[in-house]
Amino acid sequence: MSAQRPGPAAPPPPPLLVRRVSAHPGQWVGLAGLVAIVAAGAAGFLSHSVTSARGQAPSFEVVVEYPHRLGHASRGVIAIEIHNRTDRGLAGVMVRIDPEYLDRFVEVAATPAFSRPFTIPLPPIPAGGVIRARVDARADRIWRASGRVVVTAARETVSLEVRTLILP
Amino acid sequence: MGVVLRIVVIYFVIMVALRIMGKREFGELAPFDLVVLLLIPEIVTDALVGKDYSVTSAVVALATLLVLVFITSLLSHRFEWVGRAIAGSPAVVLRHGRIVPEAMNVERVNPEEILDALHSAGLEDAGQAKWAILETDGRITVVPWHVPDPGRQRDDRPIP
Repeated sequence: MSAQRPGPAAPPPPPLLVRRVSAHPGQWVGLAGLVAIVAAGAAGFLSHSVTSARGQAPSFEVVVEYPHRLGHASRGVIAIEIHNRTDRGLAGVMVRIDPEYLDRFVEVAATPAFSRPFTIPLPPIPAGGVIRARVDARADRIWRASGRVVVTAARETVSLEVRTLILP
Repeated sequence: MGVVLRIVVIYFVIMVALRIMGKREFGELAPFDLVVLLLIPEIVTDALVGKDYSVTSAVVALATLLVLVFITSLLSHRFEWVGRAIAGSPAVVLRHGRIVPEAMNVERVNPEEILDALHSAGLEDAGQAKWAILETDGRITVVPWHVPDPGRQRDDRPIP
């Protein structure tokens, strides 16, 4: 058999086809479902998000930043900021977080440390000053964690509701 | 937004990178190619999901990947140029029994690989092949001058 026979310089092209976008109806339905998940993810509805709650008493103001949504096994931070609104020092400041809320988390640690379960004693806040506490925790039990963060000082109390959706 | 964006970016980076690497790199898995294939997921895993190990995050990532694959497939089918840009075009590495050195060098195809493909096609030497084509998936397809007649080749007689 000879290799020198005449022939075309290139293999023949593929057959012509009128190209259209087409799929089975079930595929379109499935694609719509997948796109909906992607859109929800892109819009941030299925990922970690942080929100804040704010409250005040005559002597102080409290801002609590906490995870609004948190993935299972992810770590979240509850940051508590207390502003002294008076022109004198504020002593006996205590932060308490509902056990019902923190029950849905594991590896819960506070800075400064808890003195007793989920209660953080804070040093005096100078006039016009700010003091911060933070609680680190890993989300463990799926679904909604809700409870209150209660700050007391100078016989005044601020109670703020916190709610976290723990995604599977 | 984070997971979706990360998946989209990594998807296109890998697509472009594999396109630059060429057809041969992943057509047949040599040990080195296997190492690369094993390393790629190790490198990109953290970039894809970050520290979010939840099922929700995995579902969003998977949905994003599948949507990208489906859209890429639709666009490749609908627009020929998209398909060519993504998968490349077949390259003729042997024409009328003669190797095409330019194509072989560009695609990094060795003569031994062509000989392997010829043998797989039941041919003895290059002169028996009309075309050897490096397909877009990295395989080498051999077209003989004459398609062998199966009736002539088959011999059902028992071996004496």
